[in-house]
Amino acid sequence: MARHRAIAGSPARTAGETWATISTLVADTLGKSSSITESVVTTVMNDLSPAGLALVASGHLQKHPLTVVAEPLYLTITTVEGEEAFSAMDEENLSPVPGATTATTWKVYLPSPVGLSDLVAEVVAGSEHASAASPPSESVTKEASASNGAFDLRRLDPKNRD
Amino acid sequence: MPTSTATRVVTRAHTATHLSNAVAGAIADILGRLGISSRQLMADWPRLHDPAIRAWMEEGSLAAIRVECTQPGGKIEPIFEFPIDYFDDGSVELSHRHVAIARQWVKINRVPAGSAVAVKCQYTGTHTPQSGWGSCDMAPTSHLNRVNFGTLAAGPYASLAVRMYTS
Repeated sequence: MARHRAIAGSPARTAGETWATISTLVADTLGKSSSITESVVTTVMNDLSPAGLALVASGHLQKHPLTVVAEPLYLTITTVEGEEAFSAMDEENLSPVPGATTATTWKVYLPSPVGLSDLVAEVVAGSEHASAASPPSESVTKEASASNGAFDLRRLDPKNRD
Repeated sequence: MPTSTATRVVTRAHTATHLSNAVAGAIADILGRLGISSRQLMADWPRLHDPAIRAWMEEGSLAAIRVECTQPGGKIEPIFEFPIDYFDDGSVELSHRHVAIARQWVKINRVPAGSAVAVKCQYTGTHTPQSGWGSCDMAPTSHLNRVNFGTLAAGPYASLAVRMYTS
C-alpha cells in the first residue's frame, strides 16, 4: 500500500531536526512489525544522517522523495520548505504510518542528485537496509508481495510435491 | 459568514535557520563536486556549525561563511564564500535557489586526493562566543579570480550569496 508523508522543513525546523523527525517516523513505523527491530532502524537512519541532512538542507527532498519499501508498505517522504513549512508542520502526521505490521524486510532508498551522489553512496555502502539506487516502483513491489503470499494450488496434488 | 486568517511572522530566527540550512546543503553539494567527502562535516553540522551560525546570523554579527580547500601541496584553492547581507526589510519572501545555482557548479573541478577543507567565519564586529569555535586566519584571495554565483537563499532581514575564488 502506497503512503506518503510530508514533513515540515526549513525554516520551521533546522535540517538536523527535519532529518531527526524523518528518522523517528521511519523507526516508529517499521517498529510496528514484529519482524523488524526498531533500534536497528534507528541505527541505520543515524548512519544515513550525513546524507539525509544534506538532502534536506539542499532542498532535494522537496521533489525527490526518500522511499521506504517494507512490503506491503511503500512509503514516500518529502519535505516542505519556505512559508508552507509552517502550515505543513501544523498538519503533518507523525504517527506511525499504517501498513508495516506484516513487513519482514525493509529498505530505505535515498535520492542521489549530482553533487550529493558520492555522499549518498558513502553512507549506504555495505548496508542491507539502505540504497542509493532508484526504488522499485510500487506496482513491482505489489506484484512481488502478491506472489510471495500466493499459495500454489498445484501443490495440493501429491504428484506435484517435492 | 465569519472568516478568519492566520498570519505567520517570519522572524530573524526563522531566516537564520533558513540560511544556515541553505549553507549546509550548498557545502555538501560543493564538496561532492570537489571530490571531498562531507560525511564528517554533515555529521557535525547539527551540533557544531548550525547552532553557531544561526546565533551569529540572528545577532547580525556573521559577515560570511567560508570554505577553504587546502590541497596536498599546500595550495589553498578553491575558496567558497557565503556572504550575508542584512537589511531592515521584514517583508522579503523566503527563497532558496539551490537547484538553479547548482547548475553553475559544473564549473567546479575536482581537487587532488588528500585535499582537506576548513569552514571558517568572518564577522561584522563583536560576536557572541560559540562552543567549538576559535580564532583563525583567512587565506588570501587577492591573487585569485572571483566567480559570483548569485543569491542562494533569502528571507526577512537577511540574504545569503555564494562566490568562488579560483585561479
